[in-house]
Amino acid sequence: MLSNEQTASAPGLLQRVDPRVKVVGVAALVVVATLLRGIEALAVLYVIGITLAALSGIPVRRLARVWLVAPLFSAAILIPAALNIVTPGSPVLVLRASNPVLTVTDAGLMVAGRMMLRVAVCVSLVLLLTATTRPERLFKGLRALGVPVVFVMLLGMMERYLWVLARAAEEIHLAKVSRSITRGSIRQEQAWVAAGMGSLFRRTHTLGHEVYLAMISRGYTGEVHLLNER
Amino acid sequence: MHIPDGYLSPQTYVPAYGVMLPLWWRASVKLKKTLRNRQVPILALGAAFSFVIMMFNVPIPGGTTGHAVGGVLVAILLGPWAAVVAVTLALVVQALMFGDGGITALGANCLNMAVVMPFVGWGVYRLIASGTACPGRSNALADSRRQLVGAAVGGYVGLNAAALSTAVMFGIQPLIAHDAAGRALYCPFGLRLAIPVMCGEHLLLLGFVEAVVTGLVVAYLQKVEPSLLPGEVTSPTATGRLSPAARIGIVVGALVVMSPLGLYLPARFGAGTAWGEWSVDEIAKLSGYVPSGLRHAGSTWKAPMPGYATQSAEYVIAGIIGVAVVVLLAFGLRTLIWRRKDEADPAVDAPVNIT
Repeated sequence: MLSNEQTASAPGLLQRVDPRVKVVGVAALVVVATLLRGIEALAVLYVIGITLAALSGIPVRRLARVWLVAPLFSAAILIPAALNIVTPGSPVLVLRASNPVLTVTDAGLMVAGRMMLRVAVCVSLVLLLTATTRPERLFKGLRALGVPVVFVMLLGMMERYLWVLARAAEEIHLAKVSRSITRGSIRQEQAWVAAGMGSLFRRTHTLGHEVYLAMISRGYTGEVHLLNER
Repeated sequence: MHIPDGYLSPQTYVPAYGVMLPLWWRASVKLKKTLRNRQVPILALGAAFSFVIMMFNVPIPGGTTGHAVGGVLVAILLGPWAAVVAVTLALVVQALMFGDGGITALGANCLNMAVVMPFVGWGVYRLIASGTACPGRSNALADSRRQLVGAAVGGYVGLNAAALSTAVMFGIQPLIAHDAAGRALYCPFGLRLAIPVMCGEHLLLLGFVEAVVTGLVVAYLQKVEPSLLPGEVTSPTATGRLSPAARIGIVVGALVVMSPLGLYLPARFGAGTAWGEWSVDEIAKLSGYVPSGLRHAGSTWKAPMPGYATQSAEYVIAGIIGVAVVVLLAFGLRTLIWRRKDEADPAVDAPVNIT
């Protein structure tokens, strides 16, 4: 997420665009990607996504992590789809000739390839949105889609305190590890994890109270006004 | 269990959004009524907590780790509608910021993990821990061990219910969205593959992770901060209503009386024996031969009332006998297992809700 902050503040094409346009545009493009059937059309959309990312100054390493890892994950899941037991068709590569016959079919390759490409396109498009928009502007952009104010406020608060809680969880874990010499049994370790979660919830609860007190002492009356940014 | 973009056809994800929109609206209306102003920050933090829970890796036997979704835990601690909102928020952030779960599939993911899971898990928890699944009618959660077991079982059942609905969503894709040649456009695995794989891994492995996480956190909170757990004052007949046992008895009685429908409906529609429950003769007729293993298996156990009955009156009697046996077994189990330490039920006083 830190890298998101860096790219979102860098000068680039998409960073200058209004977040509302980006949210609606990316959502529309993702829907289009799910409706496309041809591999060529999906490839064109993929190239468009990568071009926009390059123009917005998103570093290639960042891009590669997303548009290589996501399709590879999908490939692992989709490999069985290319086999003849899932998608019948004319065999392209015979893996096992005797009964049960296992071949990679041409129809199977088409199906798996199309799925992988679609996943890659969707993930790259969402990356475009999140890597070029700061979180508070992104959530404010959601208002334009009609998301109620309460949800947007909750999203903003949640995103902020996410890091606080993640840090607290990290510290709980470090505290335990730095006081241990060796790992205990499975039961003991599970009990530690559970105690960490319970303790985290207590901290969440206390933090919630304190945040509320801070809010009312600064004039919160129940109405939400989002700051205007420019 | 997060469904990525591209795995669901528009015929699936658009109706999922359609179902979620009134549910989200209902959740926010419900919360506006029951959630005080001071609880709004708690809800935001509950969502962050749910998110962070998904980052905790619990060690499981075998040396690997698994992670829980935490939807049932939030439902037990803050209520099911609050869990809907909290898990939705966590899923939104995961989809937008981390690419975990697609944007078009967000409605479907919320349906599985923010609605099916918390409600089913919470309902099971209430059934076990207070004898009734209706909100506002619970009696004392007298036995804290019952609360613990309820939380763990609720977590297991909730996660598996969500796994089943996810598997169904995956599995119907080849049926409803394929190109002219019949090839799947989206998720290529049909119900026959999706359901066994998804439900299998959640029934055998991940469900236990969720159960362990939920149960252990509730146990920890019972020891350290019981005010965070829901608990109501005991008064079984204070409102003059029927006790939970009587209510359940009425429902079961009605079902037993209606049981002849189970004979009438198959006869009316000409249906035969249930799939996979054929006798040896029926198998011979269906497939032309009897597998050697099956031939002997049918004679292992001679049931006292084979096939329940053929007439309505006997069917009802069989139902009554069956219910009586089940109830006796349940009481027996309760006496043997739950009262082992011979402790009196402590009444839970000081009703505390999340304030």
